[in-house]
Amino acid sequence: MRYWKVIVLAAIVILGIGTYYIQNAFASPDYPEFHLEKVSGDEGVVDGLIFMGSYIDNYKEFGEDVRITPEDTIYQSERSYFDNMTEGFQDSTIKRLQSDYRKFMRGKNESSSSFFEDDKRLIYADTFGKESDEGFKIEMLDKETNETTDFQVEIPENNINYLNVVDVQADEKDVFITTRNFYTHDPNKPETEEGYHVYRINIENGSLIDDEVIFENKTDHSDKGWTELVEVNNDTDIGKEDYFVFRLDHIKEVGEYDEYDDYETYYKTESSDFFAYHFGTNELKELKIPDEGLGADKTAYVHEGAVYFLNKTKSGFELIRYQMDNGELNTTEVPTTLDLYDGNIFIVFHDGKMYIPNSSLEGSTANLFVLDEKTGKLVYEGKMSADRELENVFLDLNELAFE
Amino acid sequence: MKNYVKLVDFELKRFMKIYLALIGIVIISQIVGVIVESNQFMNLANGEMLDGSMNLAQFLETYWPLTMSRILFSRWFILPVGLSAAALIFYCFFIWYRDWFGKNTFIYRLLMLPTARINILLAKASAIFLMVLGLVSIQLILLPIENIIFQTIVPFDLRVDMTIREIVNGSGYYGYLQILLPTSIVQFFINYGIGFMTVFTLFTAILFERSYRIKGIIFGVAYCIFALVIFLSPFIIEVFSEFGYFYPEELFIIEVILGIIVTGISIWVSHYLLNRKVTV
Repeated sequence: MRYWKVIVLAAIVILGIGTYYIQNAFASPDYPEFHLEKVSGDEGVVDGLIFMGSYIDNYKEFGEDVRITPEDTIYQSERSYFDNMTEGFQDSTIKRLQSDYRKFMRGKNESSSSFFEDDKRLIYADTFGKESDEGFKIEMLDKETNETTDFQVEIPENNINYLNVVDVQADEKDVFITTRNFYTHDPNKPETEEGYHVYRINIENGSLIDDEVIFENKTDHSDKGWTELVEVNNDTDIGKEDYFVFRLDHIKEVGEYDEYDDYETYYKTESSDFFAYHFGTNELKELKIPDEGLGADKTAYVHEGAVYFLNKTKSGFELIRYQMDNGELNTTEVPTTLDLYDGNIFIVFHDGKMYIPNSSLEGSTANLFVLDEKTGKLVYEGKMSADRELENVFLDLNELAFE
Repeated sequence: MKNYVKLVDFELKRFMKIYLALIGIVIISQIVGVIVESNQFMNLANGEMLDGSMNLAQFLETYWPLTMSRILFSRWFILPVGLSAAALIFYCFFIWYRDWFGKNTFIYRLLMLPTARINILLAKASAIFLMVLGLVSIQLILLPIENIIFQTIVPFDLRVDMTIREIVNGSGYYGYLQILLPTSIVQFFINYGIGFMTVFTLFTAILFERSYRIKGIIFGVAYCIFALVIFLSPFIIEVFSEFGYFYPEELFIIEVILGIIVTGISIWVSHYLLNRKVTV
């Protein structure tokens, strides 16, 4: 036969690669379907709730992003190339802004801490300069007229080595940019290495009115330990917040003998001090949160003038609520029959409720608790269940969205 | 068209012996690899469990059950795939230079054929392309066979079975199979489209060298840099100006257009060089 080499080779290609992709297109991968199963409470509060996270199979050595909707479990490889491309890894706030204000969002860095939004305006602030230390560029979108104004503000002579925008707030007249500044310093003496600043900038004439140092971290490495600043503010929430909340961790070197009798040292957060800065009054308050093993290695969540902590107890967990303006401390016991896991846990505030997903480090199980924000009462609890027995598989939930 | 197919067939014939040898090496090495790796694992399991120091659960916890994706990381698999890739890259050059430096300057007869000269170039590119895809297909056909061998040697308790799709994706983040066979068909066309563009650009550079000799090397290298700059221009602009000006879907469209432009320019320049400048 003439040209048999072309024909045979082409046939092998079509048979091999062709069938592989045709099969892929028609047969979805045999991954487990998850769904939220009610344990108790009002099912209405989880209507349209979407979980996002990753699915990891240890033995098979692969992991995929997964979205669990009430109807369906969708894995990354099941979605089209273009869906994966446009949805990327951005957080849901940035996704929403990009679809609502596509023109304004073009070329903006994708960190939601650089944005502020209220009913009338969307404001973006970022740094400029080679080491991003020369000043700020600010862009403002008027939502009614759809007009954008932008200006730059220089920071006068300084010893800043590098700075990060950690929060943007605004009132009628001014923009407040909270930054974490890293200073150039003399390595020979213990010194101030970093600090939080709030830059107040007038919107009318674009001038820098005030550069207020709200806290400086004086690091002393001599005592086998150091202190470290950590932002506590919820940065996916870009609406108005009265307070900027952060903590100072005291980290110490500790040592112990491991199972092979070798002395091992590691670092441990011994305690944390919480601080809140009020944008209106320029006041910095230390939050008096009782140190019952609460601060260290515990995450705090800020929402509408209150700081929340979760604490594991014998019969479940407790929600600790600290009201920043009057210092009132409330602890609500949340009894649950479900297990509490050491894996990912976080709070999402939505519609007057707190959604708390908690995934396990040891298996594919995860729970969801929904509390009423005012009373702290449990209104719903449920667990993720899969359509089959799973071994050595992990489901790590890391974001929630509402349809 | 007929002339083109004839030329492709002819190009394949000239590399067939080496190509078949490559396929043979891939098949033998991988099959031997599955047998050796599976047996090694079984010896380990028997050794650990027969002398009473471990039970099944402890063994699985320490060593984990064996999977195809672990076997895929062994030398038996990586070396023949690497060898095939290297051979085909080398052949991209050899497919031209053998015509000048082989017995009785074959290029003379090729250029005298009563057909458009661009067909010579298209046939050579197609031949290389077919051979690359052919090897990838052989790998896809081999995987289920290897899976059966693996399952015959390693008992169910000591292994975790994976589908072909899982094996291909499972070599995951640093896996070579992901590049050759991406999950998404669109990504497949992107990867091989970039491959196609690179082959045509390289061919143009070779024809520059064949046309202008020493000076041509400089032209060829310059042409490759030119093609690279054009293709990557949106990214180069982004580095020098604003960060991330384009949205991902816009970048995708721009890149597809630029890829087609670069491939088009390469074919057009090659066409010109083949018709006007190339010397025997």
